[in-house]
Amino acid sequence: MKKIWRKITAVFITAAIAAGSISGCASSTGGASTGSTTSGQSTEKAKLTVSTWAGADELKQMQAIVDKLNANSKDYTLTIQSIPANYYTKIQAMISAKQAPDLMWLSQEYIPMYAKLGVLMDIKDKATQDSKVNLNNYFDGPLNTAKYKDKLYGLPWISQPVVMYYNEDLLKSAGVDLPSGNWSWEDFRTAAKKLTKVDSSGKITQWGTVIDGWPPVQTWIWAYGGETVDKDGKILIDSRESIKGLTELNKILRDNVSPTQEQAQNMGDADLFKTGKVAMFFGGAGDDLEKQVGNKFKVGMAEIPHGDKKVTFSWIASTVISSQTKNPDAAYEALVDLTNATFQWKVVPPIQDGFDMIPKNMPEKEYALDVIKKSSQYARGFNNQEKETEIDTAIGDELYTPLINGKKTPEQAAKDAAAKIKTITGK
Amino acid sequence: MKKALSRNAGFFFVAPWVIGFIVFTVIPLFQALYLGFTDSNSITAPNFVGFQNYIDLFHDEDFLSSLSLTVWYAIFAVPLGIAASLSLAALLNCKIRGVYLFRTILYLPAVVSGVSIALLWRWILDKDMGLLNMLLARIGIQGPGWLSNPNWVLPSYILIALWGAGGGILTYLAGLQDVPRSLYEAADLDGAGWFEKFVKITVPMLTPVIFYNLIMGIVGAFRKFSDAYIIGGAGNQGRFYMVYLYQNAFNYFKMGYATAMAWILFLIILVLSLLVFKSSNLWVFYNAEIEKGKKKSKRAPHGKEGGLY
Repeated sequence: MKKIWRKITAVFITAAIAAGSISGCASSTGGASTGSTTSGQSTEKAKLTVSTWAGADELKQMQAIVDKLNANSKDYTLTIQSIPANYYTKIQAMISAKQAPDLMWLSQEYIPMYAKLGVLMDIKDKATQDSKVNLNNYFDGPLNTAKYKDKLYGLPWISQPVVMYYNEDLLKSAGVDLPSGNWSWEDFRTAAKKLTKVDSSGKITQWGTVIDGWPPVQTWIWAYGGETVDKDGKILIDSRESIKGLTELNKILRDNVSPTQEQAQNMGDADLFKTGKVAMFFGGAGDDLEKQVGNKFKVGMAEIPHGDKKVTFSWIASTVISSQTKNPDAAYEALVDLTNATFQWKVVPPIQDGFDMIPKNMPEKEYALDVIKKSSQYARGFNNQEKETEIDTAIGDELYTPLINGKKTPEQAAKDAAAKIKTITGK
Repeated sequence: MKKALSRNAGFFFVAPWVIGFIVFTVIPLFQALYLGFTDSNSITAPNFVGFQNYIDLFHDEDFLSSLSLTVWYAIFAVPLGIAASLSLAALLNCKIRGVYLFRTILYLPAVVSGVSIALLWRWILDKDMGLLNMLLARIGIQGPGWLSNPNWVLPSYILIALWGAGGGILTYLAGLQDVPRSLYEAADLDGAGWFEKFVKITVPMLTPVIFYNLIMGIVGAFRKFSDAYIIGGAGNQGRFYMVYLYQNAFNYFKMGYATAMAWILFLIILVLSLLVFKSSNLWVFYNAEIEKGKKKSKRAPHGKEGGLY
């Protein structure tokens, strides 16, 4: 018995030594930033980190922006933390470990979720009193996605409205008039049918368009006055207006003018357009399709068709501040500087007077500047909910995918999606 | 002191492993057990909710469908995978020209990254432009929408699993090398054909390897993730258990719920493994048993071991 205890003691002494060395390695918790800024007597700049999904070339460009900011700031030194893959999984792990980056890029659908969890810092008071921030200059669509329960949790830095790219050569050869910017979805349908070519064996060799889960189904729901859920979370996906939009979408899908979802996902929907197999493609206004297509054919851009009203989805992302930051003031200053500097970057900005830089930064988009401006004015994001990612999955599973594959009627799909969203939100 | 140290040297040597096991396995295991009873979102402090997660899970259609898909996959993929690997190994054990090349080719799937394989199969199984349907079309068969038709999603995944059966041949080949030649010689003397020898000598002698592969196969089938995550299939028809668990943990911030799922998965694998272990007395034969039998029966002539079966 004595022997056993001795052996156990030996193991635990070793364990204690090793555990001591482990704890000795542990860093302090509570935010990634370091540096002294207390009592206004800071002797060194606050060291801040900003996480981004940018990689490769974009990362280099962003680094150049950050280098400039660091050189000009007396209060902070910003370091980029690039997470090009599994961004949200890693961010979640970092937040859980109390090692969140001081600043983070967040796509619109994550903001209410993170805000509810208390992960984000409210900047409403600071931003409304800050002369360097003009909230009135923002388009409502993007700015609304950074708000949650009357608070402001970040500053949008990009708002890419969905526009319609078209292959001008294919349209001309099919005798289709170039989109006027005032096409209805019915006009679009007619053109898509003309642009879908079938060979003698009955095989489709060219499609009018591609709808494979992109663009978001809200494109049609909103166009006819519907909503998936309203701002308060009320489920409206099965409302009369929403079903009208879905019915219009269903008409296009049943015309066989789009590759199957499987084909589009395997070959890449944008690639189908770039290789001239699809004539009209819905993409973000800032997508560099023109560059990638090069001289293969002439790319055109038009506003997306309208239903009862003009509206388009916008891909929006904000930079937010972690509530775990040790340097909230410096982090706020860095946020504002970084956001303002980003507007000068090669992005479609979420602000009304931010389009001047587009011809300079993206000369290939100059021809479409007017389309981008107009689209930005009525572009909007989702009415993001606390469980937005779960809701989006439910809409895909119960509504969009079955509709694309012809497995459900618009009414049935809307009813099923509403029931599923209800189980998720409990509303 | 020196004597005590030298007497306990073994324990000092194993201590790092024991500590690692306690810190990185035992403690997280108990933490996970607790998390399964909370509403943890992995960020804020979790609240104890008792069995609510477990109750909710059994009312969650997505959970039940992902569990059902995974169970059906395991039922088909594990035995078929074992049969395919075993057959391949038996063929590759033949002394023919170029056997090493065949072994290398068939083992290749095991060394290719899972992501690459998933992307490759997504193309192969494409309804209109996939390799498989193109080959079927050449013999006048119109192939199905392997991944777009819900009825074909499960067979597609089983097909992918069988394609990778070559990865399992390594253990079977090693096992085949251990089968005493004397058994085959005795069987030859008794006039046994190749099939009889395979069924009555090879398979029984390989049962320890089959046993190992069965356990690993069950664990692997229930933990299927990477290719399912990438390939998907017909809406949620390709949503395997682990994919749904991942979604809950990292997309929906339902870490408590996902942890409860992990525990249910653990229990399923544990029960199945125990059943396999329990049943192993009936169908797994170890070489040592034969050796023991040999010693007991002093008069046993050479090659009489075959009588064990």
